[in-house]
Amino acid sequence: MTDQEIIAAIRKGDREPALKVLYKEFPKIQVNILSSGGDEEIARQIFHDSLILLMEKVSKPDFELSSKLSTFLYGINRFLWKNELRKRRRSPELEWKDTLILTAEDVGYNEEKEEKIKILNQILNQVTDKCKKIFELFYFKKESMSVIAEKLGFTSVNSAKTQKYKCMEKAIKLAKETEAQNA
Amino acid sequence: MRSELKQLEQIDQYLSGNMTPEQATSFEAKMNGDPVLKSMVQDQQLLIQTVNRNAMMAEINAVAGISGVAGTSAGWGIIQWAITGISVIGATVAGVFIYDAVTDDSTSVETSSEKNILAENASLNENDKATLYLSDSIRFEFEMGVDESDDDTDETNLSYDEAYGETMRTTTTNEVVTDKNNLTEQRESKDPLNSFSDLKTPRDKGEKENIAVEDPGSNSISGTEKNRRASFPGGETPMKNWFEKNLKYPGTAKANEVQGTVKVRFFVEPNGKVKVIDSECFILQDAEGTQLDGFKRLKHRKSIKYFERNAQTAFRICPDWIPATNSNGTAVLSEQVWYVRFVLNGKSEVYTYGNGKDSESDYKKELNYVPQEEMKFEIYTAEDDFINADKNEREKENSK
Repeated sequence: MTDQEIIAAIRKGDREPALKVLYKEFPKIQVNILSSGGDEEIARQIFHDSLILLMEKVSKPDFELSSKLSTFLYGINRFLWKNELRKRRRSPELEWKDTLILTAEDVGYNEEKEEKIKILNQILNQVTDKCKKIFELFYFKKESMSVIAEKLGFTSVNSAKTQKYKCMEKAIKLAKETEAQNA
Repeated sequence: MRSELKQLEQIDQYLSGNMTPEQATSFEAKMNGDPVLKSMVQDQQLLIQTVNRNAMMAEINAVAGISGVAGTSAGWGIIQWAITGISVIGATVAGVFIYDAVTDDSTSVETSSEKNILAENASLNENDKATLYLSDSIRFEFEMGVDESDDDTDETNLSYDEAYGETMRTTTTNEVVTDKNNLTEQRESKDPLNSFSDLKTPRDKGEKENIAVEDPGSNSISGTEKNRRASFPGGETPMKNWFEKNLKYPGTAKANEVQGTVKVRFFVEPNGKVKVIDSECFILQDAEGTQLDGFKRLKHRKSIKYFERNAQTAFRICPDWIPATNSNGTAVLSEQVWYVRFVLNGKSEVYTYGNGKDSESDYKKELNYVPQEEMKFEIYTAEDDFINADKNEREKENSK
């Protein structure tokens, strides 16, 4: 697959083949991370996070690729690993080959936002399965509410809609509470 | 719907771009004048993002082979163990028998009996995993005791005498000993040093500067002009070119369609000579790039060995390096760690990362630190245990 084909596949929602190609970069990135104090677990975590950031970035309509996609991916990984090292209060020199030096803005990474997402992620595990299913079908799979109502056994499209917004209200409320507790 | 829910719906429509331009403009105007509404929009946007990330992560995990695989592999693992156990015991019985018959005899006997065994195996179901392990184990028996005459060994073209005699490695198996006589020293004749000296790598320099600017707080140990790291003559580009020409993909690994990444440690002596310490193939993958662990690694033991050997070989025959220097500008011994990535359908690569271990004192520290066991070449496996246990039992019986 060429870079443009990968990007097109991600935009189309056909992520699996794209991910398979991108995943081939993992060993090299893992070596990079292992050689500067990381372990396999963190290497995998960082690589997976980098794939998410890459897909989010690529999905934006104004995204333009200025280098090879793999180079961009290395850049994101390098950024995330550097960020992690900073959290561990270490900052060794990272001499990664064939990479870009990216800023948080380039990567689409915002510490405050990431913290909120972390909380929301916990909350999503607390809401009911039905709520999760609705969210996933509607926002990720982009199914219409009528299909969702049918799939999940709602009596009407309207009751499915109401349920969706109730779930949403609850999730945001829970997140706010957790945030207040943490603060 | 309640009015609060109605508002969520409105925000949803705004975020998904389902509003008409006029609606969107008026909504934005309202949002800018209403901080509460604005933060609600942000919260909702983040929630949607989290939902999407979760779903994407599930897809990534599926590709990575994490989710789901763990559950099924547990059951399969036990069966695999059982099959392997039985096959290993069977193989050992056969293996020890042939081993006894062959050790005193010539090589021709050895190869012919090996063929017989393999032919017998072929009559069994070839798809059966047990067969694979069976033949593998027998081969292993041969490797342990008898001369190892393999295509790959010839391919490497190097002197094991120098390789295993002079360096720090402690070789416990006797598998290499017989190779000594057949192979010749190639370093002098292959030395292409002069052709690289005029090349430079400007890109690399630029990148380093970039990092330095970005990271002013880092403790740069080896930053001064005189204090220099060891390097390949001419720099990185000639090095890559040289490896492209001289790094050989092991035939066994090619036939089995596996690829791997090997970590090679070596010293660059003050006179520039390269002395390989050891190498470790720590990543093994199939042609698709999926990592192979555990038993699959065991199955490709031979490929792993030749990956390691060929990676070492390349460093051993490469031209003399420019040695590292200390702060006085004097050439000193330095340790280098490089990674060789063998790529099945493409260019194999070499690369390294700064490890701050270039001074002589660090090298000494490193020597004290590394236990002898780590320098062994072999991979320890449960299969060895089976074989050893069985051997001991046989010896006991024989002595009776």
